Amino acid sequence: MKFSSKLAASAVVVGLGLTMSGCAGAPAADGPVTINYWSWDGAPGQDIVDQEIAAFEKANPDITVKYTEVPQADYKAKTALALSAGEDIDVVSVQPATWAQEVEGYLLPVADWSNGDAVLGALTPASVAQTSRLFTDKQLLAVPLYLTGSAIGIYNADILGELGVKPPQTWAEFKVLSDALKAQGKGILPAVMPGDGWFQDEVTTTIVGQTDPDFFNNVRYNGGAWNTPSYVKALTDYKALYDNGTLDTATLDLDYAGASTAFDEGKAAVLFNGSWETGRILTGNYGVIPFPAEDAANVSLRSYLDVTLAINKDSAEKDASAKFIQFLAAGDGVDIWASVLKGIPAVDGYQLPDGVLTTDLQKASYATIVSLLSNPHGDRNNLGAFSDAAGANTKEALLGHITPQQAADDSQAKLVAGNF
Amino acid sequence: MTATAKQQKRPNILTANPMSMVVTRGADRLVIYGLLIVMGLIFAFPLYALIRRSFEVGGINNYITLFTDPIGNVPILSTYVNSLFIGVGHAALVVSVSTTAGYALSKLQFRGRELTFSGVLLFLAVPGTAILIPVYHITQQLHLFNNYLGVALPEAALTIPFGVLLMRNYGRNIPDSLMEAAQLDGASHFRIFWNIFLPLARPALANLTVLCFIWSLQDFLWPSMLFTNPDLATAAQAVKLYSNVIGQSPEQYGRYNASLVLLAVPAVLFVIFGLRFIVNGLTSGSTKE
Amino acid sequence: MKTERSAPRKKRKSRSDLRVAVVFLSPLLLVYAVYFIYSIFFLGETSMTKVGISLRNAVDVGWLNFQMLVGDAAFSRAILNNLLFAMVSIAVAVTIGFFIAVALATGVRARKLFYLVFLLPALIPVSLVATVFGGMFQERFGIVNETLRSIGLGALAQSWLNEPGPAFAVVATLFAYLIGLPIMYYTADLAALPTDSLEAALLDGAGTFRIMRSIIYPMMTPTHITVVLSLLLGSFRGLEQVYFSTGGGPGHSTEVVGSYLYGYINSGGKTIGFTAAAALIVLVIALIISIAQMFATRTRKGSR
Repeated sequence: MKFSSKLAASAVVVGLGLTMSGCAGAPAADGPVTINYWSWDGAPGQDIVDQEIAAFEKANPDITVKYTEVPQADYKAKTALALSAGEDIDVVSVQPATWAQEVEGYLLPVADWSNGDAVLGALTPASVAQTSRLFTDKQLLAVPLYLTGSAIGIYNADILGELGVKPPQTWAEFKVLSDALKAQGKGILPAVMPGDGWFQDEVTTTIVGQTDPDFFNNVRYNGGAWNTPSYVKALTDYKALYDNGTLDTATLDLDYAGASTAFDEGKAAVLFNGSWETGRILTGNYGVIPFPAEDAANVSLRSYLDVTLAINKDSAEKDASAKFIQFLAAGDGVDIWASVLKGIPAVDGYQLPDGVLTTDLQKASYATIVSLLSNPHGDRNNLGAFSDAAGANTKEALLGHITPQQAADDSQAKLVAGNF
Repeated sequence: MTATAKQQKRPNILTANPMSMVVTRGADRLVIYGLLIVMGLIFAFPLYALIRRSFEVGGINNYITLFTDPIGNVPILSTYVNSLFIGVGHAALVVSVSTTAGYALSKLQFRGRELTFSGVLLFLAVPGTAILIPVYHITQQLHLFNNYLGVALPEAALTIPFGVLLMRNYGRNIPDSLMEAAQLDGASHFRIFWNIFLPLARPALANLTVLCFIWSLQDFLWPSMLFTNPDLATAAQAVKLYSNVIGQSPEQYGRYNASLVLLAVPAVLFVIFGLRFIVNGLTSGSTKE
Repeated sequence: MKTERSAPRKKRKSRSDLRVAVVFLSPLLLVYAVYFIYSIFFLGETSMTKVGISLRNAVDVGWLNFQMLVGDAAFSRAILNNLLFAMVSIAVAVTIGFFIAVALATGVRARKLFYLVFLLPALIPVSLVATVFGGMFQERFGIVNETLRSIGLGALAQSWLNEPGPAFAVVATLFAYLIGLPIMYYTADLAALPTDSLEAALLDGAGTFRIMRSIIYPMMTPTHITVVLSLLLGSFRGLEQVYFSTGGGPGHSTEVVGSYLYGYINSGGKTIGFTAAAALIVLVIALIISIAQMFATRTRKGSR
């Protein structure tokens, strides 16, 4: 029963597939074509993509782009499944993480793109090299859009100004801010951030990297251990910030949107997040600080490509797809997403259009981001679900349910057990 | 016929009320009111919390702008419609499969009938998450992504064991004599099924249909896995869709809560206008032996 | 509600409707074959591999996934939590839910408003209710702590979502909050309650609550069983209750099997073989629950 029904279904699928490829095999000629573009929210996000598509379709009236946005939390599973199911996807955003290898079998090598050389020629060699590292045998299957890093801080300059506190670079300075807010008695929190596991892992790895710059790359590329003394120390230091009142555990149950909302409503002085949130400085009197360190000389973060674009090798519209990617990654489309400060473009020698950054604070903040992202202590080439699990352990340690050593050991056990 | 028909004709609790005699003293009535009000307040608290949140920042504008500029370009009304369409498919599949199987398992004689029934019941408690991965591939092979039927099918598969249980037990309460009389008249099983079994089973069918609609309205799992097209988003799915969008522009927090309130509106209408139907349609007793 | 047949069914072994039965059962068999039997084979095959969601380049790992599951405290915790949450919702449904249904059936004023308040939570998407709960219990900005502080009970304000005990209480409360369906079952069956025994009790001079407890409650035994079973199944199928409120945390203290599996399926890593193994174990447990329910109903029938 089961097998015959499966067979029947397969037969139907094969039949349909043949018919469809038969149609696709006919020369697309110059007739209007439609391409399907998949990405997750924030990469670069529906609002911006709508503008991109409008601009692209205006320049290429014969191509229509249909955009599908999948929530970030579902993107990896859903998109991988959709590709394996042969859904009609032409252009797909690839998360630069272990996930890239999960889908590499579906991607068309950039060498086979009609305009591959032209696109690559416009990008920095370093970013192209980083992209190729995502895939088995370093075969280039996607092109990068931009670079981001994590963690950083975005501060409310009005709140700090009112207190007469300068933007903190070290935790000692941050404590001054926390104490000043407490003395002020308005109930403004010193800092909020996403309490989600993955972000707590971002924070911990940022702190580790400030004193042990090789930590993450060592785990990621050399099979290094997670529960190193430097990691345990970093987690201990991080927990101490909550214990001594610099930070507040009452914010650890905020999610991403909850933290952003609290900051926007002026209920917190600083928002810790990734550099992809830098665009926020265009919406208020906000500035950027590095994630503080014990020693101001050590402020740094992990940075990496944030979004890369690829073509489905089964796409019927490879040329149109390549054209669209060129527009987004190296053409007129760059200004659109770069102007909302999504990230540092991978385009060689890129300059932001005039008029994007208007105030001195905005200019200084952007310079801070560029300098941090250009001098990272490690690759933010994340380990997918492992980050969630490690971050959950981080939280457990912060809340005092387990010790930092236990958290590190448990994460290490999960890393080697390999159920991720 | 008359005995069964009488049995199905239940007094309507909202009009005629024999239960009122349970309260024997006026003081008891006060106690009952007191308890109901306290519990009612507790039950209403989350709803109050949500409604209060929905007016924060923008006030009534949070609601008004939802109609002109829906969050994530997914209008709330279309999420109701999508849930409704899936509910129709879900109910149709469950009813057609459950009635035929229920008839076979209660009114037909064949070896292995009880074994078959036990086999059906084995899958009564299967959670959707457990068969999520295979179902994705089944949906792929059936070419049913972004298709109402693609979601209605797995929903129905999970409801069918319950539906068969209900219909089979209901069928066993229909006297065999009715069928035998028809058979003596030369009616085929298909005729008996259509002309006798189905009409008699109407209360159970109503029950099953109501439950299918409620469950489709509540289902988050299948649409979230099998729909990528936001035009198809269901009410349950919209909760997450909307929260993803506000993650990008947090000033929309009030509007987000306003849309959550609006997502609850169909259920409110359901209780106000369909309560009578719920009360009369649910025949829990017939789900058992 | 339903009457037991007064005489045993006539046995007619001579007749067999097998061929007709096959026709009538074929839609059911088709659905079962595709969605259950195929799924089990699929999971069985996948559970022996290490593979990502696209199922490409699977690596054979034998029983490793099952070994990992046996050693995974979070998984056994999730199974335990399913039972605990089911127990909470059952306990609330057969007491408070029963009382609400009876009280409303006695004919109170503003009955529709009461029904609205008690039934609504169960009729709106669980994802919505759970999201509201998550927001309500947020430590700093949630309305629960805000309310406690404003009425001078700030000492009771908790880190609801970050501490295992309170987080468990939040999810348990949420399960207890969703007892609308049991209330509907009770309401429906109360409407069909034979009134003669009520009248007899009245003649005995029994008080209101005595009648509820000693007369009506035992008469509703079939409904109680329906309620218990439906809540047990509902708990086992639960996902949104946890996924949208605590996310299974802190640690894995509020995880249920639904959220556990969903998390691994969506992780994007090579977790699908592992998840398939977990899903198979969950399926076996589900089958055991089903068998238990068959025995429960059978015993009851025999005891009559």
